[in-house]
Amino acid sequence: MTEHPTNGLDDVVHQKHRLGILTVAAESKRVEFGYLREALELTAGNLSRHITVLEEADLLRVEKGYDGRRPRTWVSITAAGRTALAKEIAALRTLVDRHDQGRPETQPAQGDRTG
Amino acid sequence: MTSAEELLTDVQTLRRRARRDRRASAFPLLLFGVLILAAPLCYVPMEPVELDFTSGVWYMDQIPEGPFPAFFGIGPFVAVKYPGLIGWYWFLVIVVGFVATAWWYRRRALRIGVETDTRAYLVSAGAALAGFLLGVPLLKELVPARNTLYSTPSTNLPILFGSAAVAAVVLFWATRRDRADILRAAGLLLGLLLATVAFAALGVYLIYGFSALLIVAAGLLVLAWLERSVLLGGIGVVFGAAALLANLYDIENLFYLLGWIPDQPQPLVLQQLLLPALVLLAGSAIVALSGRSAR
Repeated sequence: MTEHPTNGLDDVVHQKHRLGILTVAAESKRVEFGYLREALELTAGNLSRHITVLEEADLLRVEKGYDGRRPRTWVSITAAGRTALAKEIAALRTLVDRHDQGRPETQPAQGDRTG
Repeated sequence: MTSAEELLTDVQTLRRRARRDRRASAFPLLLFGVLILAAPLCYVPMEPVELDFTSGVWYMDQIPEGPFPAFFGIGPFVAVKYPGLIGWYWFLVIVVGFVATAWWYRRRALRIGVETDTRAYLVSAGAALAGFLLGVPLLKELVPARNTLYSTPSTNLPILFGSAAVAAVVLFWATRRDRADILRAAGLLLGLLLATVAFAALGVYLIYGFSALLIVAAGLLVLAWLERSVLLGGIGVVFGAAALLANLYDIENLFYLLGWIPDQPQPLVLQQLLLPALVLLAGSAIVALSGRSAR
C-alpha cells in the first residue's frame, strides 16, 4: 500500500502565505520584504511572523541592510527550503491527482491562522 | 476547486509574477547591440605603404595580431592600422558588457525588490572567454593534427561535440537539487572545464576574429535559462545563428547581390556584424515592449 500524499505535507510549509514566500524566494537570488508584502497582500507584522517561522526552520535566510539610508530586509531560500518546497508541491499535485480520480481529499490546506 | 488546487494555482501565479518582475534583459540586448554596431569604427584602414610587397614576406605575416589573436581575424579585416585596438575593444566589450549586465540586474533588484542570480551568466562568459583566448592556442599546441587542427575536422569535431555533450550532462547532474555540496562543486568544476574545451575547439574555426559574438550568445542563452524566458531563449538562438554566420561566412557575398561592394575594412566589418547587431537591437525592443504589456 502506498503512503498517503498528506504524509508528504510539512506543517511549516503547508500554509498559504509561507508557501507563497518560499515560491517567490525560490524564483530569485533574494527578495525584498516590501515586494513579498505587496505580492502576498500581507501586513508587515504578519509577513514578519511567517518569515520568522521559516527562518527558524532553516528554510529561509534573512539579511538586513541599508540602501542608502533606507533599511532593507532581504530573504533568500536555503537548500533545505528548496527541498521542502519541492516536496510540498509534489504532495499537493498527488492530492489533486487523487481528487481528480474520485478519491476524497482527507486533509484540507490550512488557512492563514496567524493573519 | 479543492484547497490543494487553490494552493497550486497561487504558487503558479506567484511564480509567474516573480519571473516577470525580475526580467531585465532589454538592457544587455541593447548594450551589446550598440557595442557590436560600433565595432567597425576600430577597423581603421592601414595605409598601403605600411606593407612591403617587395620583401617576399606574405603581407598577412607583416601584420601584428595584437594582444588577443582570438579577436583578430584573417581575410579583408586584417589590413588595419591598429590591430591592438581591435583586440582590446572586443575584450572590453565582453568584460564591460557582462559586468554592466550584472550591475543592471542588481540595480533593478534594489528598485523592484526581486533579484535574478547572475553568477551562472558571468561564469559562462568566463568559460567562453578562457576557451577562446587561452584554450585555442593550448589545443593547437597539445592536440596532434596532420596539418592544422582547423583542417583536421576528424580530430577537432569529436573534441568539440564530445566535450560539449559531456559538459552538458555533467552540469545537469551537478545542479540537481539533492546533490551533496562537494559533489556539486566537483561537477561544476569539471563541467566548466569541459565547456571551456568545447569553446576552444569551436574557436579553432572562428578565423574572422568575431568570437566575442559567440561569448555574448552563450551568455544570452544562460540568461534566458536564469530568467526562464522563452522569448529571450528564442532571441539567443537567433543571435547565436547570426553570430555563427558572421564567424564562418563571407557576408559580403550577400551584400554583393545588393550592389554594396566596399573594399575597405570598416564597411566590410559593418556588413559582417550588421545582422547580429540588428538581432540584438530588435530583440531589445521586443523584450521591452512585451515586458511593458505584461505589466
